[in-house]
Amino acid sequence: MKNIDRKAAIMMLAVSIIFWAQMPGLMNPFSIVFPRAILTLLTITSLVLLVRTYLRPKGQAPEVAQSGKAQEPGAGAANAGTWKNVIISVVVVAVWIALLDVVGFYVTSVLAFAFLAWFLGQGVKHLREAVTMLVIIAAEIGVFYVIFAKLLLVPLPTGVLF
Amino acid sequence: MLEALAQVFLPNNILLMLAGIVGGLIAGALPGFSATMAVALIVPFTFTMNPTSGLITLGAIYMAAIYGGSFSAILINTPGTPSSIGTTFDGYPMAKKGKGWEAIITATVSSVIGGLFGVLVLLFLAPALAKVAVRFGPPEYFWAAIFGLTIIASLASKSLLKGIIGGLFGLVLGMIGIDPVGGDVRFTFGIPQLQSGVALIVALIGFFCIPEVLTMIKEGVKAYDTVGYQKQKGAFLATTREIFRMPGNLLRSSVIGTIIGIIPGAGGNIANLVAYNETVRASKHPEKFGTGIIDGVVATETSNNATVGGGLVPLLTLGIPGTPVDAIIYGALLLQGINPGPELFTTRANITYAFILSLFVATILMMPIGLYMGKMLHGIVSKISLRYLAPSILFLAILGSYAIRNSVFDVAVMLTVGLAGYAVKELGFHPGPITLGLILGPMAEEGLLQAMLMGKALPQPWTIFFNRPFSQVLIALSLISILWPLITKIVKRSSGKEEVYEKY
Repeated sequence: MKNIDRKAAIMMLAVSIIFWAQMPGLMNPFSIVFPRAILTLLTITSLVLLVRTYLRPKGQAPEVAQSGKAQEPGAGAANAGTWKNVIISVVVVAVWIALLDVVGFYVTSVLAFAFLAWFLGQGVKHLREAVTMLVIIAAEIGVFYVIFAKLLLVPLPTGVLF
Repeated sequence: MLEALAQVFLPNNILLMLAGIVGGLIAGALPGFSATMAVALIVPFTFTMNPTSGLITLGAIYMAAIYGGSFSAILINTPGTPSSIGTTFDGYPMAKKGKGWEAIITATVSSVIGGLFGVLVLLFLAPALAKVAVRFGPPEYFWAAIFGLTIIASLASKSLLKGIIGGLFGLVLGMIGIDPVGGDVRFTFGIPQLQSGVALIVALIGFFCIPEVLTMIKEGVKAYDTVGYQKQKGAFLATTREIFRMPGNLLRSSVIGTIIGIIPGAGGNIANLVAYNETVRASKHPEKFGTGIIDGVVATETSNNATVGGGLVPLLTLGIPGTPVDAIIYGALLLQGINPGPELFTTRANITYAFILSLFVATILMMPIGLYMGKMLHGIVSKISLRYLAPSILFLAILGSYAIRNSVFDVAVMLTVGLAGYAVKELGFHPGPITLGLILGPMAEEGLLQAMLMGKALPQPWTIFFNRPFSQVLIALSLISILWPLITKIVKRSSGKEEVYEKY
């Protein structure tokens, strides 16, 4: 627990510093009161948490602490296999979002979904399986596409395709 | 009243009601598609209907959407609407234990009970309660937000300090954008799109969906046991019986939901957390909450549906919307040429009573439809493999966060918040306090600053926070809430029960 708490405190201190750094730009006294109070409290409580990890007697299981590495997707060297999956999935989702406007909602979603389904299911064995998978995905996304774009008239991103 | 009742049962109106329930359930169950959005989208269609039918449709959607949010909360750990945040705490663990169906039954029965309670209050006590609501000024809002924040104490089950830090982190996130009173652009890091702030629903989707999916992916197909399904005969009756064995919980959560609904500006998103908190506090086995017990689901789902009736109290009597959805219904009433306010109970009494009674009928009809749809969804989610489930949730998260403001930027924010959520989850922060901070932050700040402005008229400006009766009540409630763990300890020690010491 100690290890996690220390990382948690450091992360929250980092958040406070990032937000404190933005404070000087504020002009209106009314815009400053609340953030100053909250950031002061966040800084103090994080410091208390940090100090406590040094004061308390050593105790808890080290294996819990390892999962604390999760802070950044790149930090998971300890458990390379599974972390690799997480990182690849996050990258795919980021690309998926980035291409929504460029390629179009439907096509991007089907491709990204299909890639993730292929990747998470550890590949496909036969062509037939691949075709079934694609049909399921195209249909699932198609249903939502019709509901949102045609029935609810939510203008989904179009891009080059649709 | 009889005439109004006859109107409700016109075949045309019943059909609209059924359609509204189905639509509301679907909208509620889709993460990112809140009750507010569902109602807002349908308002233009009701314009062509007569006022009664229009209101009946909207009411049915509203009630069903609040309930529908529990489906995704239970099945994929993502609140379909902000009103079901608390349902994830125990509903999802229940589903993981193979009790998803029981959780859905619990949510259904509780929602119906809460919904009926709220409507009954609306029907009988509306005018009296409305008087209290108008006494709420900025100082009261500030204290109400503080009271809401005191819930952190019991939401953060393991470490109070981390709960507080999490709440503060949520408050910090809630400050991004143009500030509500001063008008300065704050903490946007030079990104113009952040000026309007982090949309609450976008943040919620990111916070609840992404960490869950990433955990699923990390643990792998085999390790991650998606919600299991153990078919049990007589589950409905057994679960219902169990629910009725906790009348205290049902009543408390209904009352909390109704009252929070009545307070303008606060809705199911706050009510469900307050009710959850109070149930934990009143429970003899608070340590079991969060492990998947039905008490938690009963509390959240009863209270959020009770806000529907409660929120309509100030709207129909004074023309002040009690919850965000009510603001849209307000618009719908205006669109029909009806002025929300006292005239609704005099010259327009027919329409008003038909609307209220239709809510009653819709709530009851929600039970069979909800159970049927819940069973279907549960069947799908429990059979689906990780390779489809994980991308499906991601897809819904992307679609939902986009649909709110038709903005791809929001989707990027959703992913960013999600990754942050994953990090803080791994670092042992509970999502409850963070979302609470995010919801209550703007309310607290607005109340604080406006009250300070109001206080300028007094010789001692700060006394405005303490010299109003409703403020004093809220301060007392906040103090009790903060000191509650201490109070229970003392009470239990003085009563000398041995079992207490096992826990501490």
